[in-house]
Amino acid sequence: MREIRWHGRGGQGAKSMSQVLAEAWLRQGRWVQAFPEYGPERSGAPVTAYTRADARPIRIHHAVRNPDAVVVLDPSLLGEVPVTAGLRPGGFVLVNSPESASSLAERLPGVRVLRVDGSALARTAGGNYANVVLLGAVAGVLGEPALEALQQAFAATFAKLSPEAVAVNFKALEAGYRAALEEAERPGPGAVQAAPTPREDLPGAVVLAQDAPHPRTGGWRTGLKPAVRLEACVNCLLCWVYCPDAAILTENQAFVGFDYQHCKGCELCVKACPTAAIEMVPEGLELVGQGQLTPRTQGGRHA
Amino acid sequence: MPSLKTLAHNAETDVRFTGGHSLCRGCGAPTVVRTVLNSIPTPVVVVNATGCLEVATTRYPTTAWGVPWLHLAFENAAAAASGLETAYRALRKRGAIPDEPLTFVVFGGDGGTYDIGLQALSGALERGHRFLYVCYDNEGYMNTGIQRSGATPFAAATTTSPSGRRDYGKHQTRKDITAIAIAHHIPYVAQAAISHWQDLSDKAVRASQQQGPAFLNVLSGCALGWGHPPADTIEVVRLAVETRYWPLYEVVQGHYWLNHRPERPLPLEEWLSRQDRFKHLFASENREHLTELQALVDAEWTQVEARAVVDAPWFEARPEMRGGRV
Amino acid sequence: MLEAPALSLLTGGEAVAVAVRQIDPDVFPVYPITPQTPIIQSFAQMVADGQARTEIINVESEHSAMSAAAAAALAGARTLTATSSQGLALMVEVVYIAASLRAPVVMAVGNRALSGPINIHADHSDAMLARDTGWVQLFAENAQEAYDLMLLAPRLAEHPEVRLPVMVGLDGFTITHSAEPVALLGDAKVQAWVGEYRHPYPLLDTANPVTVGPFAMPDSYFELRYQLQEALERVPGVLEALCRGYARLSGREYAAFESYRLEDAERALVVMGSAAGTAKEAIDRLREQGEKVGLLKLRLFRPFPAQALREALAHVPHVAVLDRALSLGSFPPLYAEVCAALYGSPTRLQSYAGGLGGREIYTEDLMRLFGELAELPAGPTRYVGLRR
Repeated sequence: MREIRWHGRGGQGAKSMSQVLAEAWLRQGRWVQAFPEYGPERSGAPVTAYTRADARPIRIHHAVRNPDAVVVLDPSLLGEVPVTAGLRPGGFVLVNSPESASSLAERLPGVRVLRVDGSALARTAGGNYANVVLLGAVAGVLGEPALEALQQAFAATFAKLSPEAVAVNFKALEAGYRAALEEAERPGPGAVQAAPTPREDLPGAVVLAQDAPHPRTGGWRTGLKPAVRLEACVNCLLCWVYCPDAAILTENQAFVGFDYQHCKGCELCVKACPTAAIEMVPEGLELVGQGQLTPRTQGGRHA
Repeated sequence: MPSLKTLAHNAETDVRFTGGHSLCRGCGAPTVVRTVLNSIPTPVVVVNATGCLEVATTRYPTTAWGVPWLHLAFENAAAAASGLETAYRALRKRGAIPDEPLTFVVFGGDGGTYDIGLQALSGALERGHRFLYVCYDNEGYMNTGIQRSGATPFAAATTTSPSGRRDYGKHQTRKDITAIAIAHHIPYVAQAAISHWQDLSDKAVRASQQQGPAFLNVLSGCALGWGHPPADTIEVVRLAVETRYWPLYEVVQGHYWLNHRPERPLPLEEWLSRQDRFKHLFASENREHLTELQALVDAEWTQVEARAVVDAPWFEARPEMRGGRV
Repeated sequence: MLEAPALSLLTGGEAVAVAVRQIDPDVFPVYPITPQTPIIQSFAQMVADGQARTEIINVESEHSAMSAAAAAALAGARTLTATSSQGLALMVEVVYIAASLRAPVVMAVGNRALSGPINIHADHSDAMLARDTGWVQLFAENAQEAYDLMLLAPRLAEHPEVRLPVMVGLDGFTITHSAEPVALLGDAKVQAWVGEYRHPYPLLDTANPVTVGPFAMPDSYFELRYQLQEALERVPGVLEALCRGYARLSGREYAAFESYRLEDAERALVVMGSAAGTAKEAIDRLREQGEKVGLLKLRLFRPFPAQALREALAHVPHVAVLDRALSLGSFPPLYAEVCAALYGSPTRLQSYAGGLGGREIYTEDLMRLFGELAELPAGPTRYVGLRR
């Protein structure tokens, strides 16, 4: 049996791609399953989906525990979600990232890491969706299902798309498929297992607010973060009142910066700012002077 | 009226709601929660009905709440608040807890307020418990995937009132929950919107000072359910106010006061056209429904405005009873 | 100082109301339903006359009654309530939640049939729909037991090893509305017995805020549910200790169940509630005729004291179980429990069901039951008093 785990963020198509992959395998005579994990998450939150394929009918109904392949649609998940958990020996993690494979491998020690710059390849193909590239790529590395089956499955799943859009996505699938074949040449080490964290439950599921963990939601941002030109800030605090994530930091009732651990990058602060002091900038950069950007020099809370 | 500096000061000294929740990017609900809670000077205890706000802020063992917080179920938030408020009175009477003021605040979505929670809400309002019920109204069952609710406006498309080749979305008009609350003859009822934070903050303060129940219906946004970019949440809600779709008003001891009168009201299309849920209304075959919706909005505005005119002398004699104009 | 053993003539409902007054709970949210009304009317009058300081909330439904009760208990207030039948059915969603949040609410249930057709009289169908909720469930035989169990209930519910809500069942009309002599304890004695209620994480403690009722994913739900199972498993031990204390206080002995003439019995009946008294009468008459018959009257239905019950019935060759509820489409609930408890034992079991919707169970019915028990071939449930 082949078992694939997909990691993405709500809205990035992890669930859809898990289904297209299953559909493609189905078209090649395999028995398949595709299913997501459901939780209280909203668009932007980490989501997980699974695909299974086998020569025989699949009867098990539980999450994939030891995947052959893990597809990470969003590189920001690497620090947030244990993507390598349970990876089967000989398995691989395929990451959508512009970052070099060696640098990614440092962040995911002990496993075989493959990378595809899905976003760039999608753009080259004329589209916007990295997920399709990654779908092609995972099939490329696995050697199945065939590219044609993937394309047919894609067209069947997204039957409402225009012929032009379908053509673009076919290109993206193919680009991913070919990129992966090259990428897969590189060997890697074996699998590691993430240990679950033990926890003491108080009777009645009581959570003591003082001790409760606050999940980091900064990873929900999609490459852009708010930055401020302090000299333009009039300290009206409109950004503060409208921030859904309480990510505008104040001291003595004055704006002092952003809590990048929790800022989801919704841009409501940018819209609320009456003096245009806040702009969205690429992660890792800071805003200086009249809107010039500079690499971040001092340690922030979240890069 | 509290200033944003006051609210920020309150939030700095007593963190009542934090980030780290999994509400959507650009969600309107936290603005309701933070503005209301940061405006209330006393300690608070919060009850939350099942919904987006509840599931996304308390995924065990995490919590975004820095104040005591209780969730029981979907339809009974007001009943739970009744129990808490009564426990508070009972224990204070016996000297078992300090004799200090405490404000009970319920947050429920429109599903938990207009629909499934209406009976418990009505009962609690009728019994006169001293609490503040805040409906964060995003006009649909967004938590379960954008189904129609009693708050969904006429002709809006949801997953259970879809528009299609032969249909134009929800056939029925929105329930006027604010009027239903008013009919309970409670001391204070108001409509507010997240786009007008100062009005909302002022209303939260005055609602919490009442000697009985108070009800706030706050138009919150939902980028996903309404179909607009997350960055536009506040702006879209502001358009609901400026098109007179969502009148900002309050009813003090039965007397109406308009808090906002758009100088040049915008045509309803300005609001509708920003949202995918109304996209179909701009097709030629659906124009009549758009006209119908505009008529409904005009009728409600006229009604509220007329009441405010009638009640103006009452407020003139009691200027301390009325809220500000924004 | 010895207390005068004065007996008061009280209906079961009034006896429960006296117990509630003596406990003097902080909060009593309630919605009227027959046959629970004597409890809440009597108690409302007592509060109106200044005999209790309780805050009664006259809510608009049982669903809200249980919601307010759970919330008040979690706020740190000792909270009691009462219901019956459809009321319990309506509130059952929150009955589950109250247990899961470990709200030690005590609720008297005037056991009544469930609709439909609508019926206001005694049976145990209402209690049976709450059997998987995580509540402790006790059943009283008569007004005296109803009173005593109501006084035991807060101590059990609030015990740090337990912290679970407790339901005390008394048969509708048969007990709620029948006047019987009841030995009452003095108010001061009861106050000393129940003591003060202290919740470890009260919601009203704003200096130590807690989040109560969070959202649990598959990674935590199971453990949190298992906590309830563990807490229920600690109930029999705690109850036994409390009963010892209560015996010292009242002179009345209680336990999870009562064995009546069971020591040498060759045939025995297992039953709950008011029919147990009738069974004792039937047994005495049969014993006079030399028949070796006995009774196991179950008070504690949840948690089900399976091991103790198995030991108590180990020597009895024939056991009948009389249910006052059906589990439509299968064996009745009490019978199914006893079967599971006695699995592998040589005892032969027979299921009976009767007394539904207030249908009388006469002494003669039970004498007949004992009479046929040893002769019956193994078979399906037999129905006592059913016309067909």
